[in-house]
Amino acid sequence: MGAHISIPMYQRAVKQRYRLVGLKCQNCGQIIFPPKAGCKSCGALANFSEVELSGRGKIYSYTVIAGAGAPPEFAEEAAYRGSYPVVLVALEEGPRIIAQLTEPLPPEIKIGMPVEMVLRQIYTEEDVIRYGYKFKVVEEKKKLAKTIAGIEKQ
Amino acid sequence: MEIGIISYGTYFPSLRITRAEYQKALGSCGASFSEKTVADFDEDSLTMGIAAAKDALAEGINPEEISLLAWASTSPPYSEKSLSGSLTEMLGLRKNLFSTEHGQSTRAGGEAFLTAISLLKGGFGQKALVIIADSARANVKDPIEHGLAAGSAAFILGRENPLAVVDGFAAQVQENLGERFRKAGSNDLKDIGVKTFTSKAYENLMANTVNELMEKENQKPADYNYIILHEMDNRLPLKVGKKLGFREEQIIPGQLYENTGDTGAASPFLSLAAVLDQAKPGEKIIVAVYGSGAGTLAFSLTVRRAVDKIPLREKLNYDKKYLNFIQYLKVKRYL
Repeated sequence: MGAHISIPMYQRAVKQRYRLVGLKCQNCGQIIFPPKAGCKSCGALANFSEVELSGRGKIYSYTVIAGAGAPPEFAEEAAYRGSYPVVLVALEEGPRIIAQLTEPLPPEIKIGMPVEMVLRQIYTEEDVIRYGYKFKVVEEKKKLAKTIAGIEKQ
Repeated sequence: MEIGIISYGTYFPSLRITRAEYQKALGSCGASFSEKTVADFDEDSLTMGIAAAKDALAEGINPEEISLLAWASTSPPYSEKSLSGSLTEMLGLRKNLFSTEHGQSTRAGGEAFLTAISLLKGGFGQKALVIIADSARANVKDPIEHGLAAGSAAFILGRENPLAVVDGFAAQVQENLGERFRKAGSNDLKDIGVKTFTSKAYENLMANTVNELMEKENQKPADYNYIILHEMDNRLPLKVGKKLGFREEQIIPGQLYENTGDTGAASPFLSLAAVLDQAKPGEKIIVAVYGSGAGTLAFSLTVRRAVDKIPLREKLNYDKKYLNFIQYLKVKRYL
């Protein structure tokens, strides 16, 4: 079963979905993402300032969604990818968020791997493309070309 | 004060398909790359443009300072819908900026670039962000599809310590039927498949435009260090360049097609980034942009300072993943 998010609801949250704008509690300094009505650290209900998070973090945990397990809005992508990884990312600033891990995928996903946010299409509903954040593994530079599906470079 | 490029950024998706894979699947390949870039399932010209823009902004540019935004793509995610608001929200730019969006042909990138330069000259603020991205589609049975690839480039333009300044420009248009077109309502590029006919327009118009630019500047081919000729394939630029009197050493640094395929409107600007990666202060560059149908733009630049950036040609080799033909059909949503 999918979780339908109406376009007005999605639009209200574009700042957080497009570039990780969260809140900082002026009372205790806690970074809150996604933005909420109150601070979960000190309970303050007012005095928050907006803060754009760096998008850098580490894989805190992950799972792989099998094709048939994908919610309907991801069915097309699941049909393409077969299965796809979803990660719980511990962001540099503290909050932990869930998102898809996207290409270039490492040969093996490991907890603690450094990741960074990338903007991608998440899904399309009512013909409207929903853009948002995914993460990709930050790899060492100069990494040699890899292969998938046994296709060697000719 | 002179207006020029303050910083630039580029992006290529990690997916690749080889020419050999096409040949294995189809028996032949209608394009002469050795491998080409492919946008992933969740990428489009907008997400790729954002990636290049972030790369350009990472050179210590405050997004709040951007007062002018120019976008170019022949393959935008929407045929109608302004993308300036999306770009602004995705990059955290200010909302009271002037924006232009271009996309009628692969010349779009040149139009966006020169429009931004002229608007800055006309007083539309201090810094412009130009974003050019493409990932075109066509029917995979049609040879015109085989070269189509994906990539994006972005430039911050302004007066503050530019790394290269724009000296002059020339532009020409000409009626040319049946060459790379897409009818309203269609997703697929087409052409009439007569290469000798369609490449004539490229050869003549590009040569005339570059000649006009050199005449205006009172310069000859030897006075420039590099010339970038829009790569619709990897043969025409050499042919036209040599005919104009340029040597291979001036042309080859701007050639990427062999390892990228046809990146559409972004192509000459990715080439420009590759040349700026290696250019030295005082060197001169010509960029000649082509759009089917047909129109050209050529402009010249003088390099003011060397850049310290991961070279594009090195970036092109990171994290590559090779697709087989079936995977390619699926990722392009052809299947």
